[in-house]
Amino acid sequence: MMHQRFQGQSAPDEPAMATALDRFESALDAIASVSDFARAGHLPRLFNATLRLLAMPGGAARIHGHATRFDQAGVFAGSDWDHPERLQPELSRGSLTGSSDAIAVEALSRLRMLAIAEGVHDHPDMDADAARKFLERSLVFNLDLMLPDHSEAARAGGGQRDAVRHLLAFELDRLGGNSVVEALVAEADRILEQRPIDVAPVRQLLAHVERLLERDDLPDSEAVERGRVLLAASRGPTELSADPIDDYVAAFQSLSGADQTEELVALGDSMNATGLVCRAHGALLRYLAESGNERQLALAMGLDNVGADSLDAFEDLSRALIREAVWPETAQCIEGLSNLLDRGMLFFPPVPHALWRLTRFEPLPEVSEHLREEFGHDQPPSGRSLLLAGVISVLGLPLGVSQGNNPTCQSARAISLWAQCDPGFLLELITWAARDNEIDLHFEGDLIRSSELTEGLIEDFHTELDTVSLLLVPHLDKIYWEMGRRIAGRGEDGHRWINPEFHGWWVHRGFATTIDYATGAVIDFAGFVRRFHAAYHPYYNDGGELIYPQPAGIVATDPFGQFIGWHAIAIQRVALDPAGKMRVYFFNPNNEGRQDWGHGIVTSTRGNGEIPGESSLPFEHFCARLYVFHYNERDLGDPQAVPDHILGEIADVVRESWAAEKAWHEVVSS
Amino acid sequence: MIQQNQPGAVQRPAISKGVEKDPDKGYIALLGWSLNAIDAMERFDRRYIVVAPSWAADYARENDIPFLQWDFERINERSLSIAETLKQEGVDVAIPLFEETVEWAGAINSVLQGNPRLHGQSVLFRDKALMKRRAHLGGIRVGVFEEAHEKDDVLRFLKRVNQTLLKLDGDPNDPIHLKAFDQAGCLGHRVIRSPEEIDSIPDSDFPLLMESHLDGWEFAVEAWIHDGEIKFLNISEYVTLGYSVFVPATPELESWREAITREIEKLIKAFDIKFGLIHPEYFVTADGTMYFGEVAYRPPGFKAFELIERAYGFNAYQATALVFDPKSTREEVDAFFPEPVKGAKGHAGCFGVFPRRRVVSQLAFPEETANHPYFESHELYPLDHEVVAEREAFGTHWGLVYFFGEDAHTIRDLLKHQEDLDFYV
Repeated sequence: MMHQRFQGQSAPDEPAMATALDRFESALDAIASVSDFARAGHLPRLFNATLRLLAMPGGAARIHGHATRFDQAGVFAGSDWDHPERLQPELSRGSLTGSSDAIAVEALSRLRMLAIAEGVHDHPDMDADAARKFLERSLVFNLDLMLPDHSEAARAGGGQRDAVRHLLAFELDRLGGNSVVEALVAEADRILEQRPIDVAPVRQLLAHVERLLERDDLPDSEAVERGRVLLAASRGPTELSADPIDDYVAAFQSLSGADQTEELVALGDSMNATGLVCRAHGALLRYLAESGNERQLALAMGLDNVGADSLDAFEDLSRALIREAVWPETAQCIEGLSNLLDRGMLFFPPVPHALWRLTRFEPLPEVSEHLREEFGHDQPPSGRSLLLAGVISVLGLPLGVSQGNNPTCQSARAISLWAQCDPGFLLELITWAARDNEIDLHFEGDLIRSSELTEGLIEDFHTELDTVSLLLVPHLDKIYWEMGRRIAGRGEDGHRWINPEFHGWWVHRGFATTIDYATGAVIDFAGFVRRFHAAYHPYYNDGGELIYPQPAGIVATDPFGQFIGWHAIAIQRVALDPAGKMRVYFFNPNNEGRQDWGHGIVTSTRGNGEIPGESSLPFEHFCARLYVFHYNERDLGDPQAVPDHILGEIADVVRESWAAEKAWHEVVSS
Repeated sequence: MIQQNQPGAVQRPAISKGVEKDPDKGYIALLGWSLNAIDAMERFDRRYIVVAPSWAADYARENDIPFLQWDFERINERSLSIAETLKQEGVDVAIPLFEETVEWAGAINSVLQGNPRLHGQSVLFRDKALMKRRAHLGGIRVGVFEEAHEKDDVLRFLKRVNQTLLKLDGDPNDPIHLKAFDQAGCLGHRVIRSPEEIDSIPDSDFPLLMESHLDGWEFAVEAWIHDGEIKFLNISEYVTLGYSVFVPATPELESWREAITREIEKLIKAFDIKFGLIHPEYFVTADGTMYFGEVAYRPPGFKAFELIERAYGFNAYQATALVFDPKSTREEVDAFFPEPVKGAKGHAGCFGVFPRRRVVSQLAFPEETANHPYFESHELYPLDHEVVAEREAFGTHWGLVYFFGEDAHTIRDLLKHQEDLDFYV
C-alpha cells in the first residue's frame, strides 16, 4: 500500500503542469534579472509558483531541473538560506510546517541542496557530501511529513501538506541509497528501544524503509539487514505470519506440535526483540485464548518466569483480556500485556478486579466514538476493546506514555506515575472518565470536578496519543489548570502544593526550588544543589534509595544551552551506571528521550543502564538543568558534606547556560 | 564634506552594477522614489539619477543607487536650484513618477531643454479644471464640469445637472463626481447622489472639481509618445473602477482601438505633447462616443506598468525613459515596442483588496483564489490585531492580488468575482 502512493500517482495533468512550469520559469527569470534591491517584490510570485508545482505529482522534479540557477539568480540573497552550510537539519521542520513562503523557500533551498549533493551544482561553501548529509538528516527529522496526516493541524494546513509530502518523497527517491536506510533504521531502533506505547511513527519509518528496500541498487549492509528484521516484526516475522492473515490460524492449526511451538517462540521472540507486534500475532493469540493451552499462551507472549507465574495465577483473567482487547488491529497491545504479566502487575490487589470490570464495561457512546475515530482505522474494534487495549499497554509500558505534541507534560507524567505505583487509582480514573465523562481530584480539601471546568486543553488537542492519554489528558489538564488557578497569588512556585495533590500522597511535601518566584532570579543555587545531593545522591543520603518516583522540574534548553521552557519529568531512581558513574534515571514525558541540552549535556536512553523508556544523565549534568524537586525532610543526609568544588562546577555550567541572563544570588555565610 | 549632506549634493556610487551605460544616450533623472523604476533604470543602458526626499537617502547609499536628495514641496523661486544642479550634472530629462512630481518635471525639463512651455504644459496636467478646459478647447468631448469652492457650489451643481437631465421631483438623481484638483486617480474621488451627502464632505477637500456622471464603459490608456507620435498604446480595462484592472483589454474593448487611437491623437494635439508617457481615462458609450475623463503625465497606479511587463514582456519604465530621452532615435524607439495585443503572452490583472467587514482581525486569503490557476501572488499583510476598517471616498486598497492567464474573459470574470470574497475577517 505504502509504495503505491509514490509509484501509482495519477499522470500529471500536462497542460496544467506546463502552465505552472511556465509561471515558475517566468518568475525565476524575473528574479534573476532584477536588481538586488527590487528582488523582494518579485519573490511572492516565485514562491506561489513553487508551491503550485510542488502540489502536482512530478512538480518537484520540474523545479529541481532549474535548481542550479537558484543561487545565481539570488533567490536566497539576504536570507539564512543563502548560506546552506549554516542551515541546520533540525530547524528545517519549522520551515516545512511554517508559512507558505517559508515552505517555498525551504523547498527551493532543498532542491538546490539536492543538486549540490548530486554534483550538478557547485556551491563555494558546501560540498556534495555535506549537502547529502544535510538532506538525509533533515529527512529523518521530517519523515512524518511524508505521510498523509489526518490530524486537525494537518487538515488546517490544506494543500501545503501535499506540496511538502511530494517534495520530501522526491528527495528520498533521489537520495535513495544505504545512508538513508541506515538513518531510518537507526531512528526506528532508537525509538523502539524506549518501548513507547504508540509505535505508529516507527511503522511510518519502516514504510519508507520498505520502499527503499524494493530498489535493487541497494547493497547489503547491516542497516539493510536490520531494516528487514524490523519490517518482518511489523508485518509478520515468520513465513506463515507474513502470509495473508485470513489463512493464518488455519495454517497454524495444520502445523505439527513441534512446528507450532517453533512458530509461537518466533512470534514471542520477535516481539521481545523489537517491541513490534504484527497483525497475525493478534489473530493467533485470540485463537490461543479460546483453544490454546497455558504454555502456548506463555510462548506466544514471550513471557519470562514472572510472566508465566502471572498467567498461571490469573489464567481466566488473561484469557478474558485477550478475548476483549486483542484483535489483529490492536495486536500491538500484546507487547503491553506481556510486560504487564512479566511485571507482576496482576499481583497488585486492586488491579485484577479493576481489569475484570473493564472487560465487561461499556464506555459512553461518545467516548467509544471518539476512541474509534482517533484509532485511525477503517473498521476499528469496539470502544471497549480499544480502551482495554490501551489500559493494558499503559500498565505494561508505564514509561512508554508520551505527551505527544501537547503541552501537557504534567498529565502525561501523572499517568505514567500512577501506572507505576498506583495502578488501582489509575484504573478508577479511567473508569470514571469512560463511564461518566468526568474525573475528580481533591485539592486542599475541596473537590475539583473536570466536568465543571473550562480552562485547559480543549481546543488544539493533538490526538496522536495512546488511548489512555487520549481519554484522560483533557480531564487532567483542566484539573491541573484549576489547581494552578487556586494557588495564584501565593508568591511561590505552585507545584509545591499541586504536585502532591495532583499525583498522590507519595510525592514528598518537602519542596526545593532555585528560582525566586517573584523575580525569576536564581537564588541560593549552592544550597539547592547541596540539598538535592543530600536527598537523592546515595553517597550523601546514607545510601537511601528512592522508593516512589518523584516529580521534578527541569529547565529545558536547546543544543546551544539556551533556555526553552520549564518541563516536568519524574526522577525514577539514582544509581551507579555500568561504568561506575552515578546517574539520575528519569522519565521524560516528552516524545523523545534523546535530547541535546547543550554544553555536552545529552540525555541517554540506552547503554548506561537504562530500563527501556528511561532517560539518564550523570548526576552533575542533571543538577545543571534541575530547578525544582521534592524531598522528605526525614530522609535527608548532610547537605554540608557535599564538596564545594562539585557545586562550583555545576554552577559554572548553569551560569553559562539557562541562567546566563538571570540575576544570581548566593547566600553568604559569615 | 558638509556639501554632501545638503540637498542638491549628488551621491554617486563608485560603481554601477547594472547594464553598462552608453554615454551617447540620454542621462535620465527619475523624480520620485519607486524601486521598480530604479530597478528598470539599473538594467537599462542609460545613465540615471534618482531625485527623492531625504528619507530615501540612506537606502540609496546602501544600495549604490545614484541619488540626489530633494524634498518636493510647492514650487517656488528656490525650486530652480534643483534644475540647475541636474543641468550641471549633465542630465538630459526628468521623468515624473508620481502626480506630485509632474509639475516639477515640467519645470525642470523647461530648464534642461530650454523650453519654458514644458512647465506650462505640466500645470495643465496638474489642475483637473484646467485640464478639462484645455481638452474642451481642443474639441474633445468632456462631461459638464465646474469648480467648487464650498458646499453650496456642490448643491447647486447637483441640482443644475439633474435639472438639465429633465428629472422630476422624486426621480432618483444622476450622481455627480467630486475630485481633488491635483491628486492622482481615485484619491479624493467622491460620488454624490443626494443633497444630504454633501454635508459629509470635509471643508479641507475644497476647492475641488465637480463633474457630471458619464455612463459608459470606463477604461484607461497608456500611450508612449515620441516625436509627437504614438509609439505604443495599451488599453487597460477596468473591471470595477478602483478595484481591478487588466491588460490587454477584452476583444470587445479592443475593437474600439482605432477610435481610441484617434482620440489620443486629438489629446496629443490639444496638449501639444511631443514626448513622454500619458495615462488618460475615457468613457465609451454603447454607440462608440468617447468622453474624456482626465489625463495624467506619469505612470498609472494599480501597478499597471508591472501588469504591462507581465503581459508584453517589455519594461514599461524603460519604455518611458526611452520616449522621454531627447537622444533616443526613432529606430531605437520603433524597435523597442512589440505589436499591441498580439504581442502579449497573456492577460495580466490585479485586484485591490478592501476589507468588506467593518471590523477585521486577520488575513484569510480565500482558498478558491489561491487555487485558481490564474492566481500569481499577493501583497496583503497579515494583521496582528483587530482593525476597524474605514473607507473614505475611493480610499486606498490594502494590497493587490495579481493574476495572469490566457483568456481575457476568464480574467475579467475572476477579477469581478474577487469583489464578493472576504480577504480579511
